[in-house]
Amino acid sequence: MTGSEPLVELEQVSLRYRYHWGLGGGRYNMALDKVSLSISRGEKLGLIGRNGAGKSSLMRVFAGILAPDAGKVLRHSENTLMLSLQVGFKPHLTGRENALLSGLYQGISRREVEALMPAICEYSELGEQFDQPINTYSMGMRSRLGIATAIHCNPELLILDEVFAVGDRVFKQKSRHTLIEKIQSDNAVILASHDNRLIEQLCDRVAWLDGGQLRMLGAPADVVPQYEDYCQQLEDQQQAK
Amino acid sequence: MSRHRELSRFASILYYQSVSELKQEIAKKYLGFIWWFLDPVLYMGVFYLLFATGLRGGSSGADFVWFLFCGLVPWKWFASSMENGSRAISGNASLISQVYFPKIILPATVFVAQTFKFLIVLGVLLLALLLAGRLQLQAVPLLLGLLLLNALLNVSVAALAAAVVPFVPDLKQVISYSTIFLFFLSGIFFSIDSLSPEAAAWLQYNPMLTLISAYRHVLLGMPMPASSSMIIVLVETGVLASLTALVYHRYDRIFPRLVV
Repeated sequence: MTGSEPLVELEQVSLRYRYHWGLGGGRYNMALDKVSLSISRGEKLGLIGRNGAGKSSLMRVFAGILAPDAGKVLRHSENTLMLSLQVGFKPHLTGRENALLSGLYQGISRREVEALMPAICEYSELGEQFDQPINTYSMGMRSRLGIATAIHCNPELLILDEVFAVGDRVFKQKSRHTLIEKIQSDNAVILASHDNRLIEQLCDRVAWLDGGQLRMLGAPADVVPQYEDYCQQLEDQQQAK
Repeated sequence: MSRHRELSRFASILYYQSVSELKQEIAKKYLGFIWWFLDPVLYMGVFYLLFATGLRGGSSGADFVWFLFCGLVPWKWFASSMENGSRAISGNASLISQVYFPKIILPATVFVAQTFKFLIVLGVLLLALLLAGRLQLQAVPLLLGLLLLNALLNVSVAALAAAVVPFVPDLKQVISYSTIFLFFLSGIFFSIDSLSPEAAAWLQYNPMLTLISAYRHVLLGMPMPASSSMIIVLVETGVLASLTALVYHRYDRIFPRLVV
């Protein structure tokens, strides 16, 4: 479902990270180079590209976490969220307290999180351990609590770095199913993934990033095959070496 | 999302983060929250032993102990806010690169946690002064005003320290040494009246020296610092608070790029 009303528009956005700072000046890594891209209400935008192409930086600019060095960001909604697992988790707090804090960080009000608490507890399948400090949890249990909190956030623009699935086999299936349902809802979604089939299946448009630049933007049927050909060429070149 | 709803959410983050910081401190201690009371009692007890009982060699007397406590307690509040505040943004790199929230919340959290502990220490000090028959109850309204001014100074200094460290991480060490330096220049061991006019002219720009003298006026009935010194503290605090607001407005979404 694609609307024409833009939610966030990026115009000629550039962003660099400082990786060294000292006498003699700083050294920087250019993460985004004059990228123009927008997302409309209800649209599903896929992001593809190799590791280090700039996908995470672009998602953080869309989410309002980072301000660019140059270019413009026109934000028509502040209700955007980059979904993160276990954000703000504190080991000495209980599952319930961490769910509250994490929900607050991810844009839900205190009253809303408190109202959602029974649903979060049930989804996480933690039972009585929900009220115990999470430093007594296994990694899988922490991940379950993280995803149970994250999937209850309902922003206008949801940004996902991979459709992560966590926990044991049964919980993995359940969390993946929930996330795909969330992507297919009325909200706008930006989905970065290395699963090209999933991108083709779920997205209305795809942006291919390469070296911090927008290499191609269009329908999945046009962009994904070109990207796969490019990856194949790179693989062939490496094998030839 | 309404502005009011967002502000309420940020206030909740500040509250739960501060509670979490305090819980973390006591989580691994056998005596738990009792340390919040025990710590100031022991802290003041050490100075009492050194200065009031003659352990230091040549007793300085009970009067000097009260004089010292009234300097040490607000100093510890200021110094711990500044030192812990300086790590508030750089120590939360992972969090600030995952979600957006106003970064001022991070040093404010440190300030709230330190203020909670300070109020316990202050309570112990006021109780001790009351039991010793030294507390002047008519000075309490002035004490509240002084606490508010000191709070604004502390939160501004903590927030500025937190903001500069991501730009120049070396400043963490500088802040640490500055705290030691300021400790000896803030009149904790001496009275502002005992300074030479030249030294007093320079040190009146140290807001903690004036504030500590004002605390001693309120709690011990010592002379009030000159009104010009109080005006300097007010102006400095106002400038620091305005600068803090400007820095966080300008760099709020830049900080995550600096601490990666």
